[in-house]
Formats: sequence, structure tokens, C-alpha cells
Amino acid sequence: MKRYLKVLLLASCAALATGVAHANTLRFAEAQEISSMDPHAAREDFTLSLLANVYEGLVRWNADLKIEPALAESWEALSDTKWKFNLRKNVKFHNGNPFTADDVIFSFTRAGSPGSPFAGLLEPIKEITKIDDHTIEMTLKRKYALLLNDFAGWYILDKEFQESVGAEKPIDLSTTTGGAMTTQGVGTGPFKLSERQPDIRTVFVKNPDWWDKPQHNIDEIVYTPITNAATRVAALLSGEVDFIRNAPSQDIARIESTPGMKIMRAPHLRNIFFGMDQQSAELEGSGVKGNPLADVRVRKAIYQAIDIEGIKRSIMRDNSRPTAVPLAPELPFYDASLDERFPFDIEASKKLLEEAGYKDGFTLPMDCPAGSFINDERICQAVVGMIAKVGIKAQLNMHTPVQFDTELPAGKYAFYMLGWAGLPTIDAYNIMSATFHTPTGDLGAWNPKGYSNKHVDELIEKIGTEYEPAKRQEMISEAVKTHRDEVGKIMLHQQFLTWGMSDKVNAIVPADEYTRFWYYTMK
Amino acid sequence: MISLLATRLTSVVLVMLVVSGLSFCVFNFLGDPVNNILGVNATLEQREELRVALGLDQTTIVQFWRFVERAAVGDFGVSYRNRQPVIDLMLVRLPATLELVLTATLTALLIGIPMGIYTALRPKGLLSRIVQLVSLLGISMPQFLIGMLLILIFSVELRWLSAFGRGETVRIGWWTTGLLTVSGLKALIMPTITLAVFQISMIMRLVRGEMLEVFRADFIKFARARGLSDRAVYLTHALRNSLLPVITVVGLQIGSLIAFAIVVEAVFQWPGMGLLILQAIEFADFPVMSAYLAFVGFSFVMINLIVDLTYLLVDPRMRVK
Repeated sequence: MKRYLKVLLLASCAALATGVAHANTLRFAEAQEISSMDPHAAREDFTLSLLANVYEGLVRWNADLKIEPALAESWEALSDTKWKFNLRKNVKFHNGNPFTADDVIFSFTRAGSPGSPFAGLLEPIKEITKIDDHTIEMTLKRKYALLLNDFAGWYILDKEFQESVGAEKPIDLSTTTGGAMTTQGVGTGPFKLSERQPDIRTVFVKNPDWWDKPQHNIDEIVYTPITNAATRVAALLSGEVDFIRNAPSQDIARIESTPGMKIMRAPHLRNIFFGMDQQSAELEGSGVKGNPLADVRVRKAIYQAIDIEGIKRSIMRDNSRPTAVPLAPELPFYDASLDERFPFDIEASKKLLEEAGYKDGFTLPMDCPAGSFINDERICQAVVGMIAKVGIKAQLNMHTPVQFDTELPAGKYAFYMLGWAGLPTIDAYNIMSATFHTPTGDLGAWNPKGYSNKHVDELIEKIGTEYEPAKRQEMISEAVKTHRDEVGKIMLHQQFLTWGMSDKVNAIVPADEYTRFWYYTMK
Repeated sequence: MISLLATRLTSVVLVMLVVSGLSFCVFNFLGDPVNNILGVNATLEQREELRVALGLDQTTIVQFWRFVERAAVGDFGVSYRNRQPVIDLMLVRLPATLELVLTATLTALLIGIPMGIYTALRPKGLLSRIVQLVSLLGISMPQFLIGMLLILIFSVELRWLSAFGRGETVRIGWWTTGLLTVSGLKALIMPTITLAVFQISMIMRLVRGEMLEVFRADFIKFARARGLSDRAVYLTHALRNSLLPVITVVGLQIGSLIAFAIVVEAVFQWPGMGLLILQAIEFADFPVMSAYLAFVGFSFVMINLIVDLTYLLVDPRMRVK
């Protein structure tokens, strides 16, 4: 009997202790799993988004997506290619080690090492020199306008810790070790890792020694990947999780009508559009001579045949905003005066096709991903029906996202759906250099055989090196306008984020889709 | 018996080679994992560098040979998706699937066989008819639907059971078990039922059909003529003779359940092999896929071997040969 009493007593003590220690636990579920705890091993949005709570860069994005100081307290440009950063003092890593200039230099060498996914991001930096423990100087290889934007996604690690676990280099997939950072990690951020079972459960607890004054009141975050969307929604509705990032459109009404649940909406940076082969002499499988897509009138005809409001109403259930330019309003240098669509007009479309010499239409091979963008499959199917009305017979091929992302840049598609958000740079330059620029070297990788205009190419390159905001704005607006008028892409819409959560949670929904838990509060 | 073992063991190696060889041929159509690893902003040069480092620039045959070489010494590489050594990953996932499949099979046998016997004995009874009708539903309903219905009722509405995961697990060596904790057992209920529904129906129908067949056989008439009790006739003579095909089918089903519990594991976020392969396919995680397929080939051959050995136990005639 005595023994049982003891057990009972212990059990209730334990219950009490855990009850007190974790007053506010945020249980979070999403389809994906982070690739590892190594913030330099994968440049993938979801991993970087969750790890932003554990690791910090020299700067960070605040709640309004503006750059603010993080591990660097202040900075100044000494010349066009030389910057000085004053590092924050009295910052401690989760293991108690102090943060110093050596950690920044170590993280630069680590993330910038050949084979690291961040080597490209840090490529403009020639060298970093230590002035003292809390001052560094950075020399650039050339003028580069987006240094700070890029730094927000480059997280700083503790040199000593990395060396002690033998993880001086990012996890290398060609070796067999896997590395310590699949389940360990030490940063300076508002939360620290306390438990990690890959694919099952990852727990973060509040960092009581965080340098910043916490606005959040969360003690513990329990992350569980739940692959199946229906199960994820069920887990939210049954109260087993408090927060899911992307609620599927068909479940939004159900979540909103459940007492104690809510949906938080916000526009996403991602704009969805159709890209086209405008360079090939012939369009294979079209049944007509030449390449109809090389003719701006044909591109405009397809554009005007698409009933974008209909897509918004019946497929997106009003969780989208039809757009005319690929820059979202949440992005710096967005120019609202340019965001005006060519109207939906079947007659005008038919007339354009007739002028271009395709009165009887043609066959259009069309390639779409299934599962990359919100309702991608259904939108493509709807568009097939819409352009059939002006005589264009689309042959729709659906692909898995991984196959799509391989074949698209390889130039295998003539007419394809694509979405671009400009992450993690959050600047027009990222969108333009990847999807506007004529494919040359590293630029235009996601515009194979696509839009090409010499003047726009020149503008884009200048946008990448111009520091003066007014001049950047002028060039960005000009490039966007030219691209819009020449129908470089057939724009569709800007997606909305629809995050489902319990009433207890008060979140912020930033346009880059990052989960910045240090702004969250719980009742 | 020894020669049976010997031939089977050599065929294991052959089957594993063929299956993983085939899987390498499929990879080319699946897509390029490099995109997922480096992100959309990577330069062409970086992509090419990683492709070379991972050996993806080689021809299928060279890639396959390298895989066989490394696999021969037990090295299956690192998962592209979550950066763990593939062997560790599979060892973590295997217990989850095995526990699920075994509880489902046990449940199916414990319910299916008695129900089959009952419906065979009273083919015209009202209860038999109801059971038959329900089993028709069990065979024709997709697992996905059954799983979601259970979640809707027991998780969302009643809030009795967890919609996802394995609950708390206990570690015994490298094996993790959910059988020793309350939350682990509760977590097993819905996935087990979902996985077992089809099997219950199938086993019941199989037992019923076989027994009705056996009832018409001469030896049953003789048994009755000898004045044996009903119990002895039905359970000792009829049932035993009906079980051979049941063993074959159940054995093969265990194999396919281990390999293809994918739907159930995806619906309940059950951290087993099925979910692993689903995630691997989505990511083009080649090391996991090739190791997994080799493993599936291995388990099918092994299960067939066990089924053959069980025949010997159940059917004395086979022992004589």
C-alpha cells in the first residue's frame, strides 16, 4: 500500500511540475518536416522558417517584413564594397557561450564552403575581418544591393559547439554519417531545442536568456509533422493541435464555424502565373506552323480568355487577388499604378487570335504541378475549359512537384504554371532575375526559352547593384511595366495564406509565410 | 526442409537485386532530388556540383553498381530528405509498422475465423446474413474512407482517441514499442481497425467458403458415421482442413501489409515504413527508396518461407514428402 502511495504521490508531483513548467504550450502541425537542425544544410523555406525561432542572423525581418537589427546592432557602408557591422554585446548561445565576431566568421566559412546550399547566397562577400570581439568589416567582390536581405536568412552558429560535435561543415549528403545536427542545434534565438525525433516530434522551449525583450508568452512549442491534410485539419478540430499553417480551402468554412477555432488570413508574397516558351521557332504538337506563343497577340488572347474572377470565386473561394504584375504589394518597390489587368473579354481574345492568323486555334501543350500551389490542379483544369472557348485546345499534363521542378528549368515545357514569391530575399530583384531575365548563366533559371528583352535584362542587372531607393524604384517600375505590356507571363493571382488555429492563439501572418513565434501570444 | 531453406535464402539475394535494380530504372522518371536540397535559388553550377557529389551524374548502371557495392557492406547512404543514415531511419520506422500489422492481423484472425465458422454452420441464420452483408461493405470500402470516418467520429466529435501518431513509446534496445503505454495502445485502436476491416471480411469469407466445401467431403460423412460429436467434426476435422488456404492468404497479406500499409499510415500519420516511402517518393529521396524496396523484396521472400514452414505444421501429409 505504501508503495502505491509513493507512486501516486510521485505521479501527481510530476503532473504538477509539468503543469507549472509549461503553462503555454503551442502545438503546431504542418505537412512538411524540417530537413535537419542544420540551418546551413538546406535552403528550403519551411526549414528556415521554423529554425528562425532557434537561430538568428545579423539582421532579421520584423512583423511588418522590414529589416531590423538582430545579432548586429548597427552597420554602416564605408564604401560601395566595404561594410562595418557592430555586433550586439552580451548575447549568449543556448549553451551559455558568448556570441562574438569569431562565430560570425566561422558561420561565414561554414555556410559559404563549397557544396553548401548557402555558398551562392554569400558569394558576393570577399572576406570578413575581425576588428575586435564585437566589430567586423566585410569586403564585397562588387556592388551588391541586397546584402542585408540575404543576411536575414543566414543564421549564425556557435563556433565552439559546432567544433565540439564535429559539425564544422554543413551536413554532407554524400557521406554516410548524417552528422550531429540532425538532432542537435545551438543558436541565440528566442527558443531552444529540447527534444527532437525526426518525423515524429520536435520540441522547442523558451530561451530565458534571450537578448531581446520577449513579446511572446509561449513556454513550449511542440511541432508534429502531419502529412495528410484531412488528418491535420481533424487534429486541429479535435483540439490535439492549436495551430496549422495552411488550412486547405475546402476546410476553411468548417474550421471557422467550429466554436473556439479561427482562420487568420493574409496575402502571400507568391503570385501565380503561366510562363511560356517564346523563343522556339516551332511549338511542338500545336498542329500549326511556327510558334504561336512567340506572338504577343496570342499571349494576350490567352490572357484575356481567362476568367480570373471566376477562378477567384469558385476555386479559390475568394482567398486570392487577381494580379497584373508578379510583385506582391507586400514587397518593397511594388508599384500599384501598374497592377491593372487586361480585361477578361472573349471577343477581344478571338479578335487577337484572328489578327495573329490563328482563327481556327491551335493545340497547346500545358504542364502543371499537382500540389505546389494552392488549387493548382483545379485552376489548370478550369483554364483548359476557358481557352477552349476561343478555339485553343489545351493538352494538360499534371506532374508531381519534384518532377515539375526538375523538368521546368530544363526547358521541357512550353506553357506551364509557376508561382514565385521572391523568398528568402523579399525583393523584386529575386523575382526578376529568376523569372524575367533571358536565361544566361545564373540568371533566368526559371524562365527557360521564355521572355527575353535586352533592355529589361540590363535594368535587372542594375537593380541588383543600385543602392539608391529612388533609382531602384524607377528601374523596377520600368521593367515590370515593359514585361506586363509585352505579356511576358500570363498573370493569374496572388495567393492568400489561410492559417487555422485555436482562439487561444494570437499569431501574426506575415506575407513570407514564416512562423515567427516570438510575436505569438496565447490565452 | 534444409534444401527448402537453402534455395529460399539464395532467392532472397536474387529478388533483392532485381527489385532494387528495377527501382533504379524508375528513378530517372521521378525527378531530381537536387532541387529539393538546394532550393529554387541555387545556380546551375551548384546543382551540377551536388549532382556529381551524389553520383547522380553517372549512368543508371553505374549508380546501381555503387549502391550494390555499398549495400553489400551494410551502407545504404543518407536520406536526402531528413539527412539521417537510411539504416537508422528504417530501424526507427520498422517497429511502428510491424506492431501495427501484427495487431491488425491478430485482430483479423480472432474475429474473422470465428465469424467464418459461424456463418458456415448457420448459413441461413439472420445473424449470418447480417454479418455477410457487413463484410461486403468491409471489402468494398476504401481504407482512406474508413480511416477518415473513424477520425471524424472518435477524434473530432467524441474526442476519445488521437487522430495522429503513435502516442508515447517505450524504448527497448533499438526497438520502440507503443504496446506498453496507455496512449500507445489507444493510438493503435483506429489504425488497427482500419487496416483489419478488409482482412476480417476476407478471412471470414474464406473460412466460410472453405468450410462449406469441406462439409461436402467424404471424410466428414465418415466422421459423422463414426458417431463423433458435432464439436469434434466441425472444429477438429472440418476447420483444420479449411485452414491451409487461409494461412497462405494471411501470410501473403502480412507481406503486402508491411509493404503497403501506406494508406493507413498516411491517414493516421503513423511513423512507419509506409509513411516513410510516401515521403521519400514525394522528395525523390533515392537512397531511402532503393533500400526500402530491397527490404520489401527481402520480407516477401521470408514470409513465403515462413508460410511454407507453417504448412508442414498444419498438414501432416506434407511432412511425409
